[in-house]
Amino acid sequence: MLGLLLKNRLNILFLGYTRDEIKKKIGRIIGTFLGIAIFSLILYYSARFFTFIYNRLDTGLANTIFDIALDYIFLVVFIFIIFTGIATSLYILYLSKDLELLLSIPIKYRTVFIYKYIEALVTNSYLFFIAIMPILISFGITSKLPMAYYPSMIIVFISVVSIPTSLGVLTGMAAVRLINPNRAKEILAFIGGLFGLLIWLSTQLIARFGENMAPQLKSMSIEDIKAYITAVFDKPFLKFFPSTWGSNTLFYLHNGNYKEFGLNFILITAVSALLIFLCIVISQRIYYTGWSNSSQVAARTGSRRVKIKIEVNTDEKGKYGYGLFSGVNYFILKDFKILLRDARRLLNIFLPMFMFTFLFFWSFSRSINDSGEINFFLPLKIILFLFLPLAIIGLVNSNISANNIGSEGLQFWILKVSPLQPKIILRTKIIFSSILTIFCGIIIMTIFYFVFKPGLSYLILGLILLILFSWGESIIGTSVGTFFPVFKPSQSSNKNNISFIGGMLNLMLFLLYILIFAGIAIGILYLANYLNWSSLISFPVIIALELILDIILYNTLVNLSTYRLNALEWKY
Amino acid sequence: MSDNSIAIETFSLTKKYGSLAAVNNLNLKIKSGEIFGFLGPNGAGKTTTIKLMTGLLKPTAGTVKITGNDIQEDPLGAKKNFGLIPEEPLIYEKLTGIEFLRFMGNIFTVDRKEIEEKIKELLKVFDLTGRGDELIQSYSHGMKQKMAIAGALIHSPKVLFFDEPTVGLDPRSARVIKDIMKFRARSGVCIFMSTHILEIAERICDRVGIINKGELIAVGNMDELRKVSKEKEGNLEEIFLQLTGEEEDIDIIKSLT
Repeated sequence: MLGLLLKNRLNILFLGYTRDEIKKKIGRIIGTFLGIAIFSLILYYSARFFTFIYNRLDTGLANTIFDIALDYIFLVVFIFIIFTGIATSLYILYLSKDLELLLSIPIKYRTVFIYKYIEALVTNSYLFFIAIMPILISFGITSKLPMAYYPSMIIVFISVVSIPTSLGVLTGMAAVRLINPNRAKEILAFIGGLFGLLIWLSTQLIARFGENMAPQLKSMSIEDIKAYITAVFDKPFLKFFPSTWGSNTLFYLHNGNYKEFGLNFILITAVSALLIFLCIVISQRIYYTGWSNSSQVAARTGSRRVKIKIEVNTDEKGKYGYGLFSGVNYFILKDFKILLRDARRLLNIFLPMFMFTFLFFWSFSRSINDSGEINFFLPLKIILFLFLPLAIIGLVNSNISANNIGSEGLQFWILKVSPLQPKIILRTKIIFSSILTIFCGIIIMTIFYFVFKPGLSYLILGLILLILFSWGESIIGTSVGTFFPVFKPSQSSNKNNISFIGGMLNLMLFLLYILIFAGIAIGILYLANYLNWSSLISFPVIIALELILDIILYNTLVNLSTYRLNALEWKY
Repeated sequence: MSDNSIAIETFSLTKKYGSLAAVNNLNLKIKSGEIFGFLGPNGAGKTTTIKLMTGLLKPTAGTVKITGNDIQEDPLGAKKNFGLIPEEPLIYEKLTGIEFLRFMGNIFTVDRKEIEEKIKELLKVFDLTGRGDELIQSYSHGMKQKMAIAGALIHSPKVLFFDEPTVGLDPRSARVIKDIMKFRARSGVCIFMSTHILEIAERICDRVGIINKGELIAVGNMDELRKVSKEKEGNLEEIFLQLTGEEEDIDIIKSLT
């Protein structure tokens, strides 16, 4: 029966290429070719890289690099699946639309569970399969490893991705017994995200600690370099991660150390199998009942009802919907409320922001004294202070604003039938994403201010540029999102409400905009330096030019997208 | 009948998808205070008609006027005057019931004080008092449906579009909806309702339109429909089956059983 379900799933996949709407078919075919192209490119370049390492470096050093590279590749997969996998697993196991049918036909619940587990495993890992497999294959080819390497490689890969998936499934099954799966999905995604971030930050901190302990590379001898790399990257804590057992399996096979290979292979496969077994055993007791309970509306306690009644009867004027947040501005308030209650979306927006901020912070704070000495027409640290935060919040903003219209989702009909000018709807959406990114930008800029210490005048300029940049990027993102919205993603766990083409266009326009925006500012600063203008002249000129750029963008893009918004049909 | 009494008017309304006409040359006049039932088999074009009337879809040809405002030429004027209750209660699940109603009141520029009064009134009518501060995502399908209806009623529209209004509702709520329709119609609101439940249409609609394969095949009150069909004494179900040619299916069904 499991075979039949899987066959049916593959058939659905195949029909997506042959029988679906022409637009979707083309999208799938392009996506598939893109996947194959990426796979081939990674295979080619990683083979070249490994050949280069072998030919140019000392064997011992090359082995050290391979060992550490494998550890980190598997660690990234492991962390990432912990980060995203819990929510995906929960969605597939409890919220997919075919469950009602599957659980009502005469198939064992265990079979349905295994089928869904496989679906979760594939969803969690197919992107990594495209990205990691070519690296592992080229490693095997360039190292001339025995044929046994390839099946081991596949088993290890499946084991490494199955462990976080199983952990996600187990956590999910337990959580669904307590809370609604929709809420559980968000809460667990948030916890998973925080956990992933914590692991990432720990590796960063420990790497820095190791760096301080590493020997100075004065002699540049092979032994020194090996010791340095090992001190920086090869951390004792890594050996406790299942991902490292996986990488060790392949590494020891590569070295011909079959005893260690066997031990690690048994360890990773046994843990993986044990967790899958645990999932199956526990699922028999709680999966169906959990799904069944979660399909019902959570019953509320009497005390909660009484409390709500009191709240409803209390006429708290000004609590909601008044003053600044009345009328059309209620849109912005609505969007903030929805965003703050959607943990998954919050994570999608803020996690990259934190990661980029810390990444830049660590990268530049290490050698800030040195880079502070580097002078173009301005000290490098001032240029970095002005434009690094813009790059980070630009990425954040393009994510928020491009989803501004699409994220209305299946509720978009409400806006369509509301007596509001499409231009006003767009304006409120632009204001929403601008406010959000300005808020984030201020935090980032404050952190960077204490790192780079550029002086008060540059702080003021930076903040004004931040406002203008957020506004401009919001206009671009919202406009692109209006042209390419996806109101009903194929997977409801997908929080990206813009089509693939729209996403690519948005990214390109973002890069173009930041180039022009930064080009104007840097150009004027350069000119000011050349002509000996004071800040009192150059700063207002920069602000005025950026403002003109934004006004041009507003008047062209918003008018175009107003037309588009007006013409959008609601076919759902 | 003066022009002011016409709440909904369509002129050769047509929507085509390629060569398929989902709605073809639809001409209708529905008065204020009238409850109009729009019937048809699955895929006949009922929901498409409602979407065309409310501006969710653009017609391939023809126009729609709501309270005299062309939905394409003057969309805001038209939209101010109607409320839509779609078949599926697709409303903001991350808002609480009260927040959703406030949002709807605000976008229809209802007076603040009136919004609060209406919220209390609507929650009471739909038996949702005490649940208004909970997120809509925790509601059952029926509760969401009731919340969608409350959202459409908050600005006291002159025209109400109901797409399958009683689907997913318990008998009490279904009764409340029917009473609301009757009550609103008495106060001059035009009700346009698509439904599969012929009993409801027969009992509460002043006039009924039957659409099949995008074509309006009959329109009128029960007596007028009986004249059009062969069923001189029949009920709406018999008239509907006769007009939509589905009587032949009964023989097939009988042979299957």
